[in-house]
Amino acid sequence: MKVETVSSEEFLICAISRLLCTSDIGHVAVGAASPIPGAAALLAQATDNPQLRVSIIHGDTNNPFTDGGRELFDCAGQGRIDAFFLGGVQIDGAANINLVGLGKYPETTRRFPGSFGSAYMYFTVPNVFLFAHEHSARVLVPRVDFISAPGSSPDDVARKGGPKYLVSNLAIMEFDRSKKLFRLLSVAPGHSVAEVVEKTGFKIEIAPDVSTTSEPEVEQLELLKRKVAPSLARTYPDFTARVFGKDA
Amino acid sequence: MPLGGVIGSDLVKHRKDWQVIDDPLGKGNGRILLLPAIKPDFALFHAPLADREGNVWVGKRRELFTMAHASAHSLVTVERIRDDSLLEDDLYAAGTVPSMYITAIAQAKNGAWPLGLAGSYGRDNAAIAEYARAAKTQTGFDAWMQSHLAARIKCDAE
Repeated sequence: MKVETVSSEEFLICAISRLLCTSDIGHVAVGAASPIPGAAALLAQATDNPQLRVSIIHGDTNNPFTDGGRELFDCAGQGRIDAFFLGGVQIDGAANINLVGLGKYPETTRRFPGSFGSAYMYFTVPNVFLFAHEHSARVLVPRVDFISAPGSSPDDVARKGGPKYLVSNLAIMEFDRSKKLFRLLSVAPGHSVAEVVEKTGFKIEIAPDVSTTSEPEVEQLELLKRKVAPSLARTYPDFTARVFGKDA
Repeated sequence: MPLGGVIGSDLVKHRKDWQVIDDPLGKGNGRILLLPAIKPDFALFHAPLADREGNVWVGKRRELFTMAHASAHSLVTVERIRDDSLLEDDLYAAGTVPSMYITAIAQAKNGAWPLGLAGSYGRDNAAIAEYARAAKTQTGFDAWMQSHLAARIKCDAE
């Protein structure tokens, strides 16, 4: 059974949650300003995965860390974290991400918060989900203006982690680490493969079985509102009120 | 100290004080990044609680331990100062930065405002939005500081 009105946030949360459920992931960590990935991880846990550990690096709820800012990084370095989310002001076809700004650094024309720990987490967490709020040629560019974290590394640099999926409002793509390119897996309902190709500033491969991204199931949305939203509200009150209403 | 990852990021290109070397222990695959220790003159932070001996309770905000340990001086504002020693209370001692790392403390109620203080109060979103608008220009920033901070310093001094 499908649902008539679904917000874009709910759609993304449900899509990411399904990816988490079908991947071999025991512990997913979510960064500070990531309400959609946070909700997706909590939804995956609530769906059929009570053993899934979800750690949100913000506030007190669902935040297990007690040893300061370094603990997340030490955890990742030890291989205790299986999945993490990274965004990007720009993301390119080689999965390089830019969190610093637009233009030639340091003379950036637009400045964003910065790389933070991305260049470490990208190397240590096996399944990094890249998340783009806007699927457009200005975000998904041929070559990022600044490499905050590279998508792949030469053989003489130790690397256990890297990009797994790129999720946007329009598409889900998988990164092929041997070919170093993204493969389009599915397209959001109401959009076409041609539109995704046009709005992607780099060359992608199209999966032979490219499909339409599933709409949220009624059960998923019900779990999201009943179980996930109250927990999420303690970490992201503004986001939760906006997307799920004040009662969440 | 050595750090895994990062190589290939433009951060390495722009940080002249960072070095990439061949891993001398042979534990990596080849190259490894070296970062120099940071030794700040001052650490400035706000915490919920201190005692009269200058010990400061930060709870699980342990990055504040790291900052205080690294810095030559730490200047700390706190919500509250209590009379008994934090170090004699096991529940507090483990989360307490001892006074040997602290240069000075001052009481400043609501001192993290307009940001929040975990476990004490949330952030003031309206005030942060107002600040963000004001801080777009130097004049706006100066006026904001004057009306919010100067008034407060005067008030606390009295």
